[in-house]
Amino acid sequence: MSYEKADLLKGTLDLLILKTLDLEPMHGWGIAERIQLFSDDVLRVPTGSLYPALQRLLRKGLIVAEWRLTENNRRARYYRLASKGRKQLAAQAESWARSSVAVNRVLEASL
Amino acid sequence: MRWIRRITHRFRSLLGRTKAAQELDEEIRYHIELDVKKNIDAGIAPDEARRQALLRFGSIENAKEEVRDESGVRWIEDLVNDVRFALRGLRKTPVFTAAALISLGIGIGANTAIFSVVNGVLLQPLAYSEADELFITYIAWRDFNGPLSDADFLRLSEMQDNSASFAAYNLDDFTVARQEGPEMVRGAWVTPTMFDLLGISPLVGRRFSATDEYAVVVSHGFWQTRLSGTAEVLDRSLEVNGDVYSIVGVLPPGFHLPRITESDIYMLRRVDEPPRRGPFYLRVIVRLPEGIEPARFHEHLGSVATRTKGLYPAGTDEWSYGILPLKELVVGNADRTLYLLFAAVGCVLFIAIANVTNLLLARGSARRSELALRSALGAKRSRLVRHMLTESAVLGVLGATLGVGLAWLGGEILGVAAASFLPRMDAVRLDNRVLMFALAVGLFSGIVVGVVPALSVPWKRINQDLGTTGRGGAAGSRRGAIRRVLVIAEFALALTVLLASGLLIRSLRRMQSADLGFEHEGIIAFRLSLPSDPYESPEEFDTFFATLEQRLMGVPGVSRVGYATAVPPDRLGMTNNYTVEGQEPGPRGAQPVSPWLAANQSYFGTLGIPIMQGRTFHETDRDGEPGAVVVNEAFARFHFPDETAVGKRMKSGAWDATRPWLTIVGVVGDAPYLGIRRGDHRTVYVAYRQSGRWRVPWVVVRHERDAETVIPQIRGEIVALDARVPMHDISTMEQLVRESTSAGRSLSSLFSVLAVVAVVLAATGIYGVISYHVNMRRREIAIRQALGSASVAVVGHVLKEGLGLAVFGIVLGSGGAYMLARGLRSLLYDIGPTDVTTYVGTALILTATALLACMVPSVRASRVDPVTALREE
Repeated sequence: MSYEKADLLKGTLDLLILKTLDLEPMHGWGIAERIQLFSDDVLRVPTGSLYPALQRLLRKGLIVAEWRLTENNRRARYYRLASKGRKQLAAQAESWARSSVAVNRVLEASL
Repeated sequence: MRWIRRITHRFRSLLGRTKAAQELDEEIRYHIELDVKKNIDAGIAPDEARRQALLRFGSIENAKEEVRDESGVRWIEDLVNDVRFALRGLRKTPVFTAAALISLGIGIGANTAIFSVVNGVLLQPLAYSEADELFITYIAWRDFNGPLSDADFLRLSEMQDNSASFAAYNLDDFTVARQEGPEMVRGAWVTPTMFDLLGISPLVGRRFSATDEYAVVVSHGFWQTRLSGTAEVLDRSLEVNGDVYSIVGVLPPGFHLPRITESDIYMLRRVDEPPRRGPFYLRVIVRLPEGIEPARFHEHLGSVATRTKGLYPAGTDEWSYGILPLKELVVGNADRTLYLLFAAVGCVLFIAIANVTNLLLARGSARRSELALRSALGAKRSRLVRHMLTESAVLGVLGATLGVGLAWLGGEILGVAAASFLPRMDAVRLDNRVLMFALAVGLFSGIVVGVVPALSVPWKRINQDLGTTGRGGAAGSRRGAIRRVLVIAEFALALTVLLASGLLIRSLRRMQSADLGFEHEGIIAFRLSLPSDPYESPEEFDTFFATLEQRLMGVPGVSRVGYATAVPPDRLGMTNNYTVEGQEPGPRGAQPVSPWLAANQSYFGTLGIPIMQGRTFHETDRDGEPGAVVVNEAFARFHFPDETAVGKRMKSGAWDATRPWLTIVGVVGDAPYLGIRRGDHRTVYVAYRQSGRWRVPWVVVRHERDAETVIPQIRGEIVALDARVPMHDISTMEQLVRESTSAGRSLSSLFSVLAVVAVVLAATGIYGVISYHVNMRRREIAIRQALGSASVAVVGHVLKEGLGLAVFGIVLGSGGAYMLARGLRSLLYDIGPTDVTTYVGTALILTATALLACMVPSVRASRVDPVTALREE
């Protein structure tokens, strides 16, 4: 995979993670499942690439993590949206919306 | 290696790294477990479930690595790993490593050595406290700067501005009475506050105090070698020049007055109101502490000058006081020579860098499959480049370490050689700044050396090279071009250094074989210090010398004796300003200045200085008779180009109606007094008996026998005449002449060493490149031979290529070589920077070297067995 595609993917992945966590705090596997649901299996990336993305978002302060016990008494790391992340999400969502409107307009115009 | 691992582990857990790694591990395991569970619930068999889960996850190691990547501290780990890998790699290829390290070591070492000299001589402050507050005060008169007089010093010391402090010194030779006889000791007279001013505290004892009368402070060396070396020396006395002085202190080792390397004793001088304006002999140091503004200080100086002029109205008043930073006085013109040396070692460094770059390029082709593999495993281009640069940086740092070692080893020799043409060599050492410099040069070299090979890798297509041996192709030719350019550059640089060295060697040769205008074989020269009692009286002086001459002539083997205040080639005592009748400079004009010496009548004959016109001195030229003066040819040519100088008149010193006329009675051949390199100067000789009796004359003795037998006999005669008169500075004229070329010798030796190193490195470089080239083209050569091309033709073909590079480099380098040569101009004797013979000579030498270096690979090329070569793949 070339480098440009990787960067685009990173951005999309980050956004999807934030969106997922907006609904409720989740651990890594849960986020992966949720993203799959959202994107209709479109994003064919190995789920392992989730973890570097999570680390990146952690470092930027957009999400926070803590270890919790799950239902079956196992230790798992849960991720939660931070206020900074919430703001980022709102901003990104807005710009996505704007660009999709533009894309739609273009499509409509040419149809 | 285990202990390293333990330490890094501890370090990492300190940072919580291990814990983080464990947690990530757990997290990933949990993730996969959940996936497996999901698959099993969906009805898949457990083994298949696990396999699918792992597939879905992707590479676990990759994920872990990328998480580590994102955590930001990765680069330190990477660096450490790269360094370890690099060291291992270097160990595995010892030949390459040795070659690279030797090249870099030599290049960096030479630069470090020269930088240590630059540091010590130019950059370090002088060895006095707050040395940048120290200035030397002088009198500026027309374009003549000179020392001060007692009157000046007293007026300056009385200056209103109390924060500036003055102290003065003047050099002298002292006769110290010792058990074995009188000994001549070099020293200085200093005013009481001198050591305070310089911030020097004595090692033993104290400085001069307000009540001291006859006091002396001795140097550390003198204390150790001539005195007891213990504290008991204090308050003991020393008989100097016939008077008794008490020793009050010993100075710390390594101290000396500015520009004075030898000074054993420091005599207290209190400056009293002088009867007249002159003489001018004091060197006055002033300390201007931080707060003082230079502008205001200059005003003060101006008002002091006005006061002095008022107190001594006779004489000109067109002078003023000036100050110069003490360091500038000490360093003088040394910076120019140092920059030239620096340029030369810089060339050597770049040749070494080019060589190592070529080595890395050669090694690089072998490693491309490794790079391709790493890239396929997911390493990004920037990461691989970082890896290669780290490797070459490690090479650079190791080279720097070797270089520092070489610089240290060669430091002694360099110090001795350089001391003949540079001041302050005692301040030169390998201190922190120098080590930092070596490290910086090492890193710089390492990175430069690595950048070119790193850039030459065809990154876009690297994956295609997996499995190939990486020969040929577009990238191969790009690398070949780089190699050729590097060889050309090496030869250009080598020419520069070789030319500089060639010019210096030829200049030295010319200096050594120049006709100096006087005899330098079979002449002994020495100095006598006559004590003031009784030799202050001219009659006593004259009687002494008349008797001495008689007795010395009686020594077997001695044929002539003479004396004067200076001897050639560079032992000049004094210069003087003068005016020739009819050539007075106007009120604004500058007076001519020339070397000025007093000589007796037999001086010229003893030294073999020929009389060209008129006569030299006679018995009749003594006190009370009209002043007689002898000039040299250069003087006559300058002032009287179309007529004879004999009979013309002149005056010594400032143009003053009351001063006596001097008449030129003769013209003698030119002889140097300011060193051979400065060439011929106008010189004026006055009769010894008409110029006050300077009591420390040089005596020259022409002899036919061995100096070793004659000198003790001369000494015996002098002692017999007056045991209190020490004979010192004994040497033969041959030695003096040789010493006067020692600076030229040292400098040309240094440049020659650099030139040899440069040429050897360049030869190694071209050898390597041509060898590689031949290796690469084995098939082509084999085909040629199989098709019937003679070995000679093959050899010729390879040689032509190699020589082509060398010659191109030489031509290209001529420009740079000329620039460096121009910088040398002031150091050259009788030869200019555009000397064609030297250019041609050095070009030929380099070409011949290239020829030799290419011989071996080209002959090897012709021996390639076509059959085996063609069979190779």
